[in-house]
Amino acid sequence: MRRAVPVSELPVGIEQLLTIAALDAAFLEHVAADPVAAAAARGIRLDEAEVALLRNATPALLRQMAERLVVPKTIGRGTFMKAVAASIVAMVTGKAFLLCSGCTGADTFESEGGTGRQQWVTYDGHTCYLYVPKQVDADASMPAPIMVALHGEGETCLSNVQRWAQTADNYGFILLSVNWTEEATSDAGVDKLVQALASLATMGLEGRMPSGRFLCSRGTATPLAYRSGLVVHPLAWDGVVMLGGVPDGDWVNQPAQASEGISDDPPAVYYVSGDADPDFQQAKACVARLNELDVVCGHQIVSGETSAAILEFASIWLWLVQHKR
Amino acid sequence: MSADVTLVNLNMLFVRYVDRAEREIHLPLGPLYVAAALERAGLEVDFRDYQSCDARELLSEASIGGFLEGAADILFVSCMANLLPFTVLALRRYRAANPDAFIALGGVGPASIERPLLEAFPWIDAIAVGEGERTSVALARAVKEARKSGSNPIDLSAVPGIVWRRGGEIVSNPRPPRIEQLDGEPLPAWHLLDLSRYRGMNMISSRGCPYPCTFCSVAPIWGRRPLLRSADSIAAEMASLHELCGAELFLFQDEYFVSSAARVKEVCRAIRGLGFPARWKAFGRIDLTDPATMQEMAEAGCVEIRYGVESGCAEVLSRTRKGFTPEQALDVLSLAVGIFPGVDAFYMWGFPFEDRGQFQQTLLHMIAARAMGVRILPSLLALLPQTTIYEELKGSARLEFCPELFPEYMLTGCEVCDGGRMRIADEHCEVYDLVASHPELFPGFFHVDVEHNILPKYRLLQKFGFYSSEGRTELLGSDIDCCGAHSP
Ligand code: B12
Ligand code: SF4
Repeated sequence: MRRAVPVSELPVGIEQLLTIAALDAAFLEHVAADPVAAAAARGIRLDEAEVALLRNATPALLRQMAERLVVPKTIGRGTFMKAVAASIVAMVTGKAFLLCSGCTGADTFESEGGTGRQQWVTYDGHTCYLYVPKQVDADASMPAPIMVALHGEGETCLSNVQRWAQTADNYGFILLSVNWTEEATSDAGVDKLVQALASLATMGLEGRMPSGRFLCSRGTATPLAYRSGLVVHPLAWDGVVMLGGVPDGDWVNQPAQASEGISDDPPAVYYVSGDADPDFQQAKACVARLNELDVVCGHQIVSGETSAAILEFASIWLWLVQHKR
Repeated sequence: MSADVTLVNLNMLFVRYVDRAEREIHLPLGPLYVAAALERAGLEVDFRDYQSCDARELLSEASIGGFLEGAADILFVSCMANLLPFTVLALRRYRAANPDAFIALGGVGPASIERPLLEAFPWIDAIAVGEGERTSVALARAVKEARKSGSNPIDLSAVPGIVWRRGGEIVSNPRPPRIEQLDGEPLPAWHLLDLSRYRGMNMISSRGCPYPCTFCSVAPIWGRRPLLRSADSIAAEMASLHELCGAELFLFQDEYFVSSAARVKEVCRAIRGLGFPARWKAFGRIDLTDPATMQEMAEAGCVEIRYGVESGCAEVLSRTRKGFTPEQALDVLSLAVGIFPGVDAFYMWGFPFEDRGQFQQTLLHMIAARAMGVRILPSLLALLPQTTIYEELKGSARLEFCPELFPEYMLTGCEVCDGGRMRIADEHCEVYDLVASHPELFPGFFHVDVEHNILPKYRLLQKFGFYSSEGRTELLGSDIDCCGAHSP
């Protein structure tokens, strides 16, 4: 009975504006003061009807709308595969506008496990989703390990929570899932992000010193994790987990070139590949090269694609802790 | 022995698209309560639910004619405003074939226009007003007695809550008092149905809503006076349905489920005590659902809450006497999204007094709520005769008939929805001719100022994906089990 249009045709400028404002306090002020100028500043295209709606709204209302977009705790969020959020996901993969779909709840999984505190936070201008297990939260003065996680394409920050929350609860580490897709659109953006990841790890969170620093990537984020963990800031990390994907370069034909710049003292790497991953041969060649270079590397090959595999995150965590430098 | 009364349910959901028809079979609660009361009074009921009729062309006079074949000589029919014109025509045909039958209408469709309906359609003998349990029993008994004793014309002056014909005169009898102890009433007469065919396990935890919203057609029907069932009787009803047909999902269809935090708590306690994992949906009210109440509901299995937000404009909310602000609505929806797996918000648009700026505020509200994850259910204002808003407009506003754009409250199932356009097949024209010639009886099908009030707003809603438009037909939020008590 209720029918609507294919999402790609919807004007979604308002949703984009509100969503970013929800995650960025400074931008929120800009939106409240002049939503049309704020949109232009972020490259958000507004349709003329959207301009009319925004001009007709009071600053207080716009502020409230943005603030209420962030839902504090998700229960059964999976049912909200929303058209608009989906459109934002679609744009993530395209070039038009980059925003982590998780920020608007487009994720399709039920948030399982995880009784810890979870919330959107902004660190140094980067939008992140923070997960702090209860026992860690109980004593803010205790150092705790931190896992910085980068989601893959088509995933959201919440995907990392689904992945790691249970293990984080059991072993007491903080999880910080970074919305990286928005930033990593240019080389300069990637450099900035790599820098930010390292400082996130070293500075600690919420005034707490990290007792271990780990970086995890999934799929398309793997080149970024490799670059941060093994090339640019190896000392910032105690271990790196790469779930699928391959670091940049032609590892099969030009392994030496691909591994150029790798640090002399890299952290241990736990690498998962699926024998049906499209880049499986590259992944195998990459592992072979890392072994040649004496990088401590655990390679788990799963059957089928990595994205479909059921992984034992507790074992991955224990491996990391064992091989921590 | 043939039954004393044939009771026909014509409350149903039926929408036709070019390529398919969507039907969803719901328990017809009102008629089932009436049937239970009749049976308790010792009357035999032949219950016929038109929802379960398998005819291909459901809304044709021939199909309903066939469906009514062999009915008892007392025929009771229940319908909503959308199918009232179809029902009236079907009964004309029935009367022609059954000149001696006693034909009475009941339910929300004819509410508040009983007298003009009887004036216009002489083949209807009586119309029941409001709560049907006492009225139906008294009416059936009186007709049965009169038939037995051969008295003609039948004297119905002692039957409470009916409008009827005494010779050429139309008489309104006083209504019976409301049923104060709902727990004392029998449960709906489910045994008269094949429950396995029903998807929507409707229930009500209360009757009536005390609020004065001017566009609402539900609250006036119950005299704006709510009466509540006890928590234990509600849970017992769920348990019975579970036992009878394995139901685990229940739809609370009453608009005052969240009457108070204490009462919701009680109901949730009783539901949690059921020996099976019940899931349920209910209507909320923005200013009656605090976070603790919502949490309580979710923990007791409430998987979807539905709010009548109605407007994103403070002046419109105030003028329609809704009783909360757009800001309150945003706060509550946001909380609800974090608590319930599903949150619906009904929005009403097309108020004749709503200017462009006010409508834009509503549209923006809808967009913001949608971005939160709320399912948005827009409804074009239906000027139903029970509503205060219609009372106020009656006489002064020019009502325009625009079959291309019926309010969703008035969709009958005769229309074909085709990429946002509505088409009506020739065979159904009689129904619409009847509607067009009786705006005073069927005002819900009419609009005020289509060109300036309705169409520009409609186009904007289409643009933002709240309605389909030509060439854009993707389904979004396609669940059809909704019927907004908080909209007209
Ligand atoms: C459940 C429901 C549905 C269900 C189930 C209907 C069914 N099979 O019974 C479904 C989902 C099918 C449905 C659909 C629609 N619904 Co609806 N629905 C309701 C709802 C929420 C509850 C009905 C109910 O069970 N009430 C409880 C029972 C106990 O009350 P009752 O039915 O009124 O019955 C009592 C009396 O009326 C009387 N009575 C009833 N029949 C008879 C017959 C006789 C002979 C007698 C003597 C007495 C009598 O006695 C009963 C017991 O006291 C009401 C709102 C409400 N809270 O009432 C809207 C409501 C009935 N629906 C309404 C509408 C408009 C629709 C739709 C037409 C449009 C829409 N978009 O929603 C659609 C159908 C669309 C389509 N194209 O097909 C309107 C009707 C307005 C009107 N004046 O007619 C209402 C009032 C909601 C509203 N917002 O205004 N609906
Ligand atoms: S719209 Fe909802 S709250 Fe208002 S009177 Fe009707 S049922 Fe009650």
